[in-house]
Amino acid sequence: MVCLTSRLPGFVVAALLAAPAARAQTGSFTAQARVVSALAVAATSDLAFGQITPTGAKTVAPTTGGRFRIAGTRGQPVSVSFALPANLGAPAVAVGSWAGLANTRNRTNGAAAFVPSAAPASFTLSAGNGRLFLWLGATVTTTGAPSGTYSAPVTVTVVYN
Amino acid sequence: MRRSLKLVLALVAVAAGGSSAVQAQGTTGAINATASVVAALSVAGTDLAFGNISPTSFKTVAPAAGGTFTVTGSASAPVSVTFGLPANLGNAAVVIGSWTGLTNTTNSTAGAASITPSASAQSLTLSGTGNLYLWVGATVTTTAAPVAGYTAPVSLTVVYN
Repeated sequence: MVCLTSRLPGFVVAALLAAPAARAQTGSFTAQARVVSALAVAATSDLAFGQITPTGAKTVAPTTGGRFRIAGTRGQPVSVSFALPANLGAPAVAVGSWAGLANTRNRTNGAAAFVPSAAPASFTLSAGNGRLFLWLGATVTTTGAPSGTYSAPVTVTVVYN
Repeated sequence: MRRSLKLVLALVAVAAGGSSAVQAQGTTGAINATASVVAALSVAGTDLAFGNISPTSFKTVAPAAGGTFTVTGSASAPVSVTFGLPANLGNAAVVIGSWTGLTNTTNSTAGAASITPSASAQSLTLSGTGNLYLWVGATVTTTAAPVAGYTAPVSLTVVYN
């Protein structure tokens, strides 16, 4: 007994010694969860830079860029994170300087600016219909890029807070 | 004693495991960021020459007889053109203005479309062979201008849409 308890941490020994003399006490807490309607993300428009010269730069503003539509439970807060490519499939076609707009209505007028990133950002779905709209823009920079078509996915992940 | 020890160790293990963060599965959506790298644009120009003019006078050169720009690039590509237009020819007494222009996908002013050169971007489309021609005219007005030669650059900037 002495040998065994001497190898245990102090609080464990205290618990062992105190247990026989103490009256049983109970406590409780409530584990809570609310199941709400599943989130849905629709990619409604690609971020299209169009044509660009082999060495150049071109910026597409969020208002004319890629679009996502998120649907879920009305008025619920969500976290939004992005997986953003560093290039469009070739290092000579870099993409960066990401910019975004968010609105609970499907219009950029009055939308809030944000910076898309891998770090989760909090938004709240529309209290009226559970919608959230996101617009993305960026700048593509070419450096001696061969002629061709380049593409890379831009992914958004949404979870309830 | 053996049963008590096992119970305590089990509780310790549960407590340690319970420290991990709560995780939720996210809903994702993806768009594509796309760009097409095409042949570089080139712009060549010939001068807008007013010839001789008296110290106080004005002279208009029509686009068909004015300066020209030849743009080459990717076949059938839409482009934006913007002009850098001087307000005078290097001297406030030799004012230039009332800019006019023509544009065509063939090297002929016959059948060319009228444009008003300006610093605001205008959308045009290169021909099936990647050519675009612009002609620029203007009016120069002198007000007691000293006898001399005067000049100022007129620039054209072309980018792919």
